[in-house]
Amino acid sequence: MIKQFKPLIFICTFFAIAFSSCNKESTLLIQNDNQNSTNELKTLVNQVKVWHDSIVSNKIKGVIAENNVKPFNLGPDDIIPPTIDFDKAYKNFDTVEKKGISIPLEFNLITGSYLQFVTSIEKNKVSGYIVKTIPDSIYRVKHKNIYDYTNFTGVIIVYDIKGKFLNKIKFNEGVTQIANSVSQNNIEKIKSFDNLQTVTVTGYRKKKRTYLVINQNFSYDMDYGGGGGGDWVVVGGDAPAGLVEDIKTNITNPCISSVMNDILSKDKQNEVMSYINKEFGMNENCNMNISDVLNLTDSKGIFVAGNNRSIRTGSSLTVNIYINYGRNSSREFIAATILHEMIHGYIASQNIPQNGNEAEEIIANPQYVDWMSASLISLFPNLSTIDANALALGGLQETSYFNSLSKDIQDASLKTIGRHEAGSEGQKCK
Amino acid sequence: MKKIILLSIILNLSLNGLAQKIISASNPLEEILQKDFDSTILYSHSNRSYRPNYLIIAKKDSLVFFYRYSSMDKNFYSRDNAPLNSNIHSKLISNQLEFIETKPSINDYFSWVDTKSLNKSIWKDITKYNIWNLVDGAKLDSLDTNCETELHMGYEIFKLITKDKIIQLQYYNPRGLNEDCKFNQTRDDIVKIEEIIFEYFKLSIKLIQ
Repeated sequence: MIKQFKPLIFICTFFAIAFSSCNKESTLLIQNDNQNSTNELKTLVNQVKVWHDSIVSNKIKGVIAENNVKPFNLGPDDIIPPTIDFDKAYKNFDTVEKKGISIPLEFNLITGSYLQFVTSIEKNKVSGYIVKTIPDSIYRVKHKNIYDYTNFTGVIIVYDIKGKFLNKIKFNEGVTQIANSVSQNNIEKIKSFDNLQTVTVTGYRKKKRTYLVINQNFSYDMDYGGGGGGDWVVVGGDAPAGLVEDIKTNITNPCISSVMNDILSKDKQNEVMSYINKEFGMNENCNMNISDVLNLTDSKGIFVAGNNRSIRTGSSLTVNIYINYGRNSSREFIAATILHEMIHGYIASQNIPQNGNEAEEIIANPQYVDWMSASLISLFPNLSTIDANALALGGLQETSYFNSLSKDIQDASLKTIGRHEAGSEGQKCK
Repeated sequence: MKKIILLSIILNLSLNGLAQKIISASNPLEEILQKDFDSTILYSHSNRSYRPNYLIIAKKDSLVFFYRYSSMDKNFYSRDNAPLNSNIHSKLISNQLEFIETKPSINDYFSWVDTKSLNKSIWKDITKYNIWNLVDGAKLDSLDTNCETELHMGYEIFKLITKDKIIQLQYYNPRGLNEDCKFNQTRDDIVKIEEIIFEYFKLSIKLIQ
């Protein structure tokens, strides 16, 4: 009897193993309903906050509000230490499983660059650093989970909490490539990344295992900036506010032209444009051409609001963007379309493949929606957040992120997009 | 021998399960089709400006029924459809918005196209490509490199409805990707299935209008 069932048992076991191993690469273990953990985290955060405030207040005499410590002095190699929101703190474990606290400061949706304030507490002594993690573009595509640093490939830069550069380490598949690229001022103290024993960062280990434990109450605020816990802290310095003279436009429609001028205007700079600017306004090898086309259609001959094609020749990249002017869409809709296409151009400039389903999936996430939405509001101050969020979802309706939203949000967003596209809502061109 | 066959059947079913997206009915139209027919192929094309219009091929016993769920205007909001700011232009736009805001069901947008016996219909031509076992576009091999294909060329979406489940297959511009990037047999099969469906509906709709 057992013999008869042996193959079946084998098959069932095989599939049980296969299914249970699916999608584990980027899985975070999240502890739910753990009141002890919450209290412990709060205590740790308070300790870190008291320590941090004392360090910072020794340096400058500024306004230090509750949970909102202001930036401090800068040096030539420094980042600008951002406002630190201690409510976004979460616990982590470093490579030697020392418990610490991380506080996300900035996350660049497109490059995956992640700035965090990390601390550890040992024998009542608190130490901390600001750590910037810049993943390689290919690694970024494969590891969408920002906490998954398994076999990390990219660069990690460490600063002290006064914003002073300490160390920069290049990793390739979890292995240090270039260590000791340390500023002369600190060369005596820091000889390798391992010397920074108190730096508590998530991951960087080769083996897949539990590397991060998050208390859910805190993790959601952090995961989805703007989703209830406040937006990501925006740090200046990364994206220069240069001119956008190298973006060539060939626009005949007066309405699209006026929206385009607003987008490129220095007076209305928004965060999306600061990144576009950085690549296409200042990099000779990256060119962007934007044209308008009457009745632009897709592969089935059906109207489409905009499209985009990137062409590489040697080391240079040309992004051609086409915007449809065969309709009377609102200025907000036109702006959302142009920004959306520009973001695809920026992704191309980062050498991230955008083929098929990947193109929209790459940008379909809450951070992108917040980012786009904020840019639209900066261009159209009277646009409501709900409408801006809906317009930011334009073109993402077939993505897994859009499908993960509630049916009510999906329906409402499609209606808003439709009304703006039809021009029955929003600002009309005169 | 029986064991090997059993094993291959289970293996095949399991692998298909992993490679396809199973969804539940998302609107009354899908619910009704699921209830009334043995199996249905619901085809639609989607891009950022185009709300799904469905071409429907539904099988019940030995008969195949063809329907269409669509708005009359293929290219929404064209400014050429009437003088700007005219009543006709406004009405056409409000008609389109009404279409977008209506949940697909058996309503004014739903129409019968044709009925054929199973053997004389395109059902057998489509099923020849083994559509029920095709791998979803998102699960096909990654194209890895930038192949300079155009963006926003639209998705081809198939919902395969049976009594017990709905399989959704979604492919981004399969023809374009096969031309510009790496050739993939599944994408090619999808292009051929689309051609069969389009050809049939184009002919049938002309005949009934």
